Amino acid sequence: MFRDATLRDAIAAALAPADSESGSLVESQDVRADFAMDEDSFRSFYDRTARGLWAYLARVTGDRQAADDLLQDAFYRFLRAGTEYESEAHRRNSLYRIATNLARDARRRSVVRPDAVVSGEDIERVAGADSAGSLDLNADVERAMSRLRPNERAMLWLAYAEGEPHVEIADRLGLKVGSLKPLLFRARRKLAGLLRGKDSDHAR
Amino acid sequence: MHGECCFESEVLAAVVECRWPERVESELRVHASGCAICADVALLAVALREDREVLKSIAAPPESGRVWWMAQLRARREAEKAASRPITAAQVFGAAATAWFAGACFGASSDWFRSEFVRLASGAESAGIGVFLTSGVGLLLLLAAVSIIILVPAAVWLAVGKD
Repeated sequence: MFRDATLRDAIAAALAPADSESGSLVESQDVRADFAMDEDSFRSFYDRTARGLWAYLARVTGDRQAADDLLQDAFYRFLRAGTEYESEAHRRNSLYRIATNLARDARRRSVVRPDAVVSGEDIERVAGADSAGSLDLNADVERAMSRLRPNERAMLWLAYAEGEPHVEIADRLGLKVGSLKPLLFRARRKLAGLLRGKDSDHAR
Repeated sequence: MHGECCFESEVLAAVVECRWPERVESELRVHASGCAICADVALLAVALREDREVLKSIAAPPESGRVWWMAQLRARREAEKAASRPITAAQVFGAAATAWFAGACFGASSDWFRSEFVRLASGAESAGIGVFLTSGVGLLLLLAAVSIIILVPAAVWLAVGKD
């Protein structure tokens, strides 16, 4: 991994010839001005949200590689949107809406190749005394989620993994709250049935 | 049709706040064991939140500073590309105009070209190709033809191929 200073130097070096060739068509200050937030605010927001968003993308797409790519793309588009946000919730909703749309587009373009999100190499990285139980549960959830439609996965994830209220879920997925409730109910029954088919002890 | 239970949000809140099932009122636990909706909510919330924690622990997102600078780099490239788009359009227009002009010149001088071609054929027959090439007009004609055949497609490719 790059340290920040090293990375900045590397990028500055990479940009230098481009400046001389293009006659400095676009100054970096101009680009920075287009972003919705300054660097410190962005980094703080990214640190708070990146892991959660990655988990969401990994489950919605079922493809770890796609989640990696979409994560960076989502944050880039979020920055480029140039919108002023009223609150942290508003900002998060916007980021998740962008990520959801990107995942939908990726699926349409067939760049998503569902596979096991958690691989054997990850087992050592999962901390905690009951990591074996967590990984079993993770495998069950992965199998069950793979049998749902992507939109169902997204709404279930936001409702139960993220604990978001219906209004926020509807906003993130571009649905009306009234339409969300029956869809969520059906998806919940479906996933509960799939999970119970494997193991009925998770509700404890 | 969809079912709702008034205790559903309480069960979800208990799971989210890590109070489920030990640190909730026994009435809620008893209710959840007999209510299909609350049982589903508890099952899914526990499973998905645990899954989320596993995924968050294996996630390896790039460092925030790196993402910031890569975003700047990408924004810069996109802005440069957008700025160069009118130039590219002008280049394509220029190449098309050149091709049109060359064609028009060729059409206007086609009688002359035909006579030169007949002279070439007879010259090549009687004294070989060298006679034609040593005549100034013949050489000029040959160079113009080569230019049109090679340079115009090359110019169009350079203008359009960048994108």
